[in-house]
Amino acid sequence: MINPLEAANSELPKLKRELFGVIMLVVVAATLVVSWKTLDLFEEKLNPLITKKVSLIGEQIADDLALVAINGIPFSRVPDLKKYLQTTAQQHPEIDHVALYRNADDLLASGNPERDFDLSFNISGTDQFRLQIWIDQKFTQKSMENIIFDIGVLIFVGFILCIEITLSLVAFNITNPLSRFRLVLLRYQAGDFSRVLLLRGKDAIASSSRVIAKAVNDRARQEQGDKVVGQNKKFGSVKPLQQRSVADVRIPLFIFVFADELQKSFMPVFVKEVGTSLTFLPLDVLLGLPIMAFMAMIAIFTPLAGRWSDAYGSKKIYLFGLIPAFSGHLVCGFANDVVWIVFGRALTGFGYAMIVICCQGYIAGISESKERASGMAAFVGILMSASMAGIAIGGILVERIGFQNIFALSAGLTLIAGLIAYSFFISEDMKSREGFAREKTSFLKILSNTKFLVTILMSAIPAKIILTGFIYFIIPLYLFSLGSSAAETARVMMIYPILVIALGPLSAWVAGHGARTFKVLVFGCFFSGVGLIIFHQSQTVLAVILMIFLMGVAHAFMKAPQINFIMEIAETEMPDQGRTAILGLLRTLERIGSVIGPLLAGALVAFFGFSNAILVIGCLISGSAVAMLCYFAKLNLNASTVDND
Amino acid sequence: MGVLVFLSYFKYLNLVEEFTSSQAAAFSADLKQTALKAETLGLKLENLEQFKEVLERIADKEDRIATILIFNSRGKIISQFDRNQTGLTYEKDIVASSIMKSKAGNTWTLFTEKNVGFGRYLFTDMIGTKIFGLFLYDREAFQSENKVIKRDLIALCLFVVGPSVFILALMIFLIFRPIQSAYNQIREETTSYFVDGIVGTPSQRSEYGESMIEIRDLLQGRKSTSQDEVR
Repeated sequence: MINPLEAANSELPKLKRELFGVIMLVVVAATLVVSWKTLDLFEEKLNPLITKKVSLIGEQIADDLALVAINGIPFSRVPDLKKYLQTTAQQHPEIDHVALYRNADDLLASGNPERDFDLSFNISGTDQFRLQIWIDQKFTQKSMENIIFDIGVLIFVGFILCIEITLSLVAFNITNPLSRFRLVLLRYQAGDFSRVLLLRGKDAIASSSRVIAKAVNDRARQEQGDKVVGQNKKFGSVKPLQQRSVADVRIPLFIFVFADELQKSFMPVFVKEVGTSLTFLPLDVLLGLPIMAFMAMIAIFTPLAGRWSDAYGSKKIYLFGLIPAFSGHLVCGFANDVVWIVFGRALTGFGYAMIVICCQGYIAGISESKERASGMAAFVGILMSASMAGIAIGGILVERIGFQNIFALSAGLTLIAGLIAYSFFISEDMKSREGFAREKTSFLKILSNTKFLVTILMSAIPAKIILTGFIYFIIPLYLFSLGSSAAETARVMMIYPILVIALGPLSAWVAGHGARTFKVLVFGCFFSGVGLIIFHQSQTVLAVILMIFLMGVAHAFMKAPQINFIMEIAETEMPDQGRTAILGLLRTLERIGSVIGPLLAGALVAFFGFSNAILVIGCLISGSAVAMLCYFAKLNLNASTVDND
Repeated sequence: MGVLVFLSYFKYLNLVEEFTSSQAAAFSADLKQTALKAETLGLKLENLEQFKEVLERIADKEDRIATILIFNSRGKIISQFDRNQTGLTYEKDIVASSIMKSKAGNTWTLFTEKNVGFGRYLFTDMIGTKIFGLFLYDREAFQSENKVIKRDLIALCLFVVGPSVFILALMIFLIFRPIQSAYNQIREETTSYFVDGIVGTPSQRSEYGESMIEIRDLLQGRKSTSQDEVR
């Protein structure tokens, strides 16, 4: 007979797929129905307003024409009457067409519409003439274009939430209990009764686990009694079995990052609005300071927070990290000067560094290697999806609830993330102090590798400069100057993470299928700046979209080759220092770019204006790719000369 | 779904504000035309009876308008219409805040306890003074319309969410059925060996049942009997 435990386990992948499909289908269908009916409802309510306005305009035109008629001037002798009617129609986007009719004949018209008129007006002083107006029937729909885009964004965010919620629900209710139950049974079969599994719930796994746990506890108590009379065997004190899982981290991390990203689409605009009393720096440079402070705190505290997390446990550090993160959001919300915003973002950056690194550490501590590897991929996915959702929702919400309330919302969500983490995280995950004291890495030795250093300086740092300097700093300000709303800015900014996620697997495939990593890396770096150079002068939203598109594609293709190339060129240091240390150093050093980016972009905007600042950044990034190419070409040339000699 | 309805409602409010503001633009054009005609004829704006006529005509066309104020950049009210004839007690404050706001742009929106105001720059007179118009709409009229749309949106949301939840629950039930039978067997076998006096035997025994017997025997400190029982 089939083992039911194995049968349930083998059903899981299919169950996840079906569950996700069904939830997605129902959510998307329901959202589309609500959206469609909402738009219908709005059209129904807004159309009378438009008709009312057009009717007012019609009456005004009719009044003007009445003046002509009352004074006995024939309309055919009024100079530029047709032009007057056309200009009036053009001045009001609600009007499609205006015409002056004598009887049924078209006398003066600004076009030839195929349908019947919408409004008709008498002209005092004449019975023969009538003014007729056609309303632009698509005007309401055009006015609601923004809503349609927002609905699209919300469906997209709903899609992300569906993934997160489905994965978490399945993990909490089925996958994790099943795997823990299997683990504890294997332990028992091996004669190890030191742990019991206590699951909450009414399902078979939870109730079975409790039944077995009771038997184990009873036996342990019985043995404790025997021990008194000197007959102790293998049952010591029984402890509950705790096993980490990615699902413990998923929701708290998602909510925390989502809360932090809410401000991204408007931060520089918010800073500009708050203003400052400081005069020693140009305003444009000051605008970049909050982003810079945030990035700097992450760069400084990420390595330290990693060690704290190892020493004190992920749960404690997560909860501790919430204090500065929460306070930072509140400080920003109440800020009345740039200085306070910088302070608030620095605090949040400190908290962010602790929370993100302890979540990463938590996943790294998963005992099963397969789950650990997929957990690391999930970690990056959670960060990216929370970032996209946060930017999008923040941009939509800020238009209505204002900057301050967004920060209050972020603070509230941070607390919710903390509450969830408190109940989900497992406390027992500290490394022994001896363990981490031994983990010392010689960073100087890695940095003495010139190829490594050149790659960091010419590829990794420029990639971060363009990300924080151009996307996070220039884009919100530039689009604001072009008249875009925060929601539009958010939609444009979202293109970047979407491309990076969507093209990530393709990039990894290209990197793993014979493409020369160096060439892909150089081309990626070069093309990320090319978009900025080509489109810097056309001051339109479309040009910005194209810049981000080219940059996103280039960065997506750079990511995997960058790691592969770093591993190739650091192969001599790899045996001594380890892969993790080299990658850690790459991540730490590239953050220098994140810190420099907003400051550099601010200074460039202050001195050259938006267009030229974008051009300079583009040239800088593409130029660094060329410089890297030249350096490695020269190295190869020297190497081949030595070989020939 | 809730977020969608919530955000759509706010977007709707924005659109209504935009449309009403553009309506005020059409009224302003009427006022501007009248004033320019008067100026051409050398008439003083303050004494212009036609202004009052135009204001009344505008108010007739839009019953949500409570008050219309025409004032200059020095804060002097040139002409006004007050539907309730009660007189605004705070008109000076309104004019002062409008002049402040007019410095930032040619159009502005003003919210007071009872009104929503849409202000516009009209023209500059012959001596270089800027003339502005402010159309104060009755806030209650706005709010009652908004209440209707809010109610409709909530009803729509509930109307869609209800059946969606039902369909989802049904589909989830069907998806979980295969795993449910496995779970039932786990429950039955565990109960048989650990609850029913520890010696019970289920109707059919699986590999899982054997592991239960093995664990039970280990717990009782005796050699596993699972294979014997199978035989």
